[in-house]
Amino acid sequence: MEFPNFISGPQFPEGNFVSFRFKDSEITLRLPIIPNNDDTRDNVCVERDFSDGNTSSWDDCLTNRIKELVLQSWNYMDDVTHDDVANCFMEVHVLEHRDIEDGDLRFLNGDSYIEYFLKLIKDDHEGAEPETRPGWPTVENDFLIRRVKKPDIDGFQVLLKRCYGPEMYPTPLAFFPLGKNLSLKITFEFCSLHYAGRKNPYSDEMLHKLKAELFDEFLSLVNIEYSQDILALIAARSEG
Amino acid sequence: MSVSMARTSKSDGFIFFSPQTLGHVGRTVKIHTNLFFDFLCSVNPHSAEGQMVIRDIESLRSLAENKATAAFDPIGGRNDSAEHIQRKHKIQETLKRMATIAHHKKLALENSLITKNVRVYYNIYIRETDICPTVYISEIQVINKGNKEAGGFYEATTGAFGGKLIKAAKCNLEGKTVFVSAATATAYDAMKDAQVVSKGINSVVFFNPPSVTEDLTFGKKNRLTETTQTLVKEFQATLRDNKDRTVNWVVAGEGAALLSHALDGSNENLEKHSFKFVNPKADLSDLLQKLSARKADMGNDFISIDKALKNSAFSSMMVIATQKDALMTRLTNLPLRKMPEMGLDVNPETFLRLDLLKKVSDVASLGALTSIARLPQALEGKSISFIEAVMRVRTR
Repeated sequence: MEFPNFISGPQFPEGNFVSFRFKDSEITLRLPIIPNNDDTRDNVCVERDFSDGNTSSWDDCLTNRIKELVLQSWNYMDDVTHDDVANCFMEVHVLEHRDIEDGDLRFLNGDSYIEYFLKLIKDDHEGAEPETRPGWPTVENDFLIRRVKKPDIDGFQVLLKRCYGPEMYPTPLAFFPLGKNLSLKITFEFCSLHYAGRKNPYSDEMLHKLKAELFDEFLSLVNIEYSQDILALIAARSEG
Repeated sequence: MSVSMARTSKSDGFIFFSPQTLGHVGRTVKIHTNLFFDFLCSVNPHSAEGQMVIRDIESLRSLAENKATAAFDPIGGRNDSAEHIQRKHKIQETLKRMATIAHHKKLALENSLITKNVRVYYNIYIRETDICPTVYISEIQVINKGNKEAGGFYEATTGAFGGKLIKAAKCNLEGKTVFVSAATATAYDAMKDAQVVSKGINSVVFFNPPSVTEDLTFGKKNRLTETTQTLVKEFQATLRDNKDRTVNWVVAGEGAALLSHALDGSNENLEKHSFKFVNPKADLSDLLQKLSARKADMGNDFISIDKALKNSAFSSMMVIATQKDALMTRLTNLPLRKMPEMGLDVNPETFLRLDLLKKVSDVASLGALTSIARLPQALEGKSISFIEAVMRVRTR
């Protein structure tokens, strides 16, 4: 992807291929190559094979279990001034939904998967202060949900408020099914950076447009391959 | 042109910036040895960003501007008579000479270069030991970057889709572990540091934005800016509201200095509060005295260095090294925590405290660190450039 103006930073298509195996699927991500700086993070889970289905060591997160696969943080820089102009904080998790029973196949279809998740997200926002800013994600506009096409089962992305400071923009999150009861969750925090006494030459609007483009590009490079059993179930569901 | 490093390296505390700035190509660039500590703590030469800062400073060989000279470039209209132009040149010649004298008196206009988080101030002039105009770097300012998030208490809540961070107006800290962050770029960064340190999710995070660094740098007794004062007041109010509650504080980096300021304005009894410090950057001897006076609980292992927080571990070790003697005395004199009878003749706390003393002493006595205090003087007259010395001290 071509960055606007003089912005430079890690390119996803030049990133490292990193794969993780699960009971029903295998994912391959293109993780950006992060420059070694004091304020960058580059933590990739060393365990790559979770195909035995044992999730007992994963963290509890309400009804789910969660495992961090990737935590990366890096900056985008202006090539002329060498100033860092934006910071990106990307997390990739896998969620095990313990409320999904063994015979429940709703994750194997894009529509039912999205319907299930959207209800969860709305429930999670019950009682929250209503958002009044135009163009911001709300329960009414389904958090600006967008379907993300994948060959076998579609995922989706939404915008959620994760950090509630007055200047903070909503964070894009994406979810993809990884089998009968597993989901891939990708979070993409992005904020503009300011040095004391210096003005960031790029507007917030422009940087948040860049954020959306970067996230789309990262998602387009996520590859999910399901096991033969799951593919057979998907085929049976679509025929039925 | 060949310049002998040994011949010109000693010059009122200035030494060559790097092997690239000896004057073989472009101007010579020198830097004052007193800037060693500041540079060491703010620029990591083993990082991509640090390398960029070094290359940018080296580029002063060709890019350094001499404002005094530039101001007197010839001016003249097309229709000026020869006599008029000659008179103008004469005036300019006089002004240039005056400027040169000013240079020699170190009164020349100061220039600055901003690169990443560093601003260097420099002059160009010729000293007795120089054979050509030389760039002299006399000051370094560290500029921090961040987004516009407000500092203070944030509550981390666990939703179905991971954590959320909400700015808290008032906190009930009963039974909670509160992480007081080092100066970090974003509140989210602070929350992640909290998770790294505590290996779990902290429910409350006190986020210190990067702006506090300038106020809370160890050794500087600056007046606090309004932003930092607001943070200190928020901290004091929360401490007051929670004085009778059981709270576990985990304090990182500059957070220790902020805590120290907050304690200045409160005399609360902190018996129910326990404190742990990770990579602290503060006058620790003074801080421990304040906490001890308020009966705060400091367990067995309340000071630690965590290299997983890579932006604060090194500078914290430096801070500990520079105050070793005072800190060791304070640690030795701190009262031991009462332990339940365990059928031993000696309170086991004694052994644990001895262990902490040894750990702190080890950090403060690392070969490279102990010699840092003497390095600025030791560097003068040596055939080693500023950056080479920085690289030797700051290991990966």
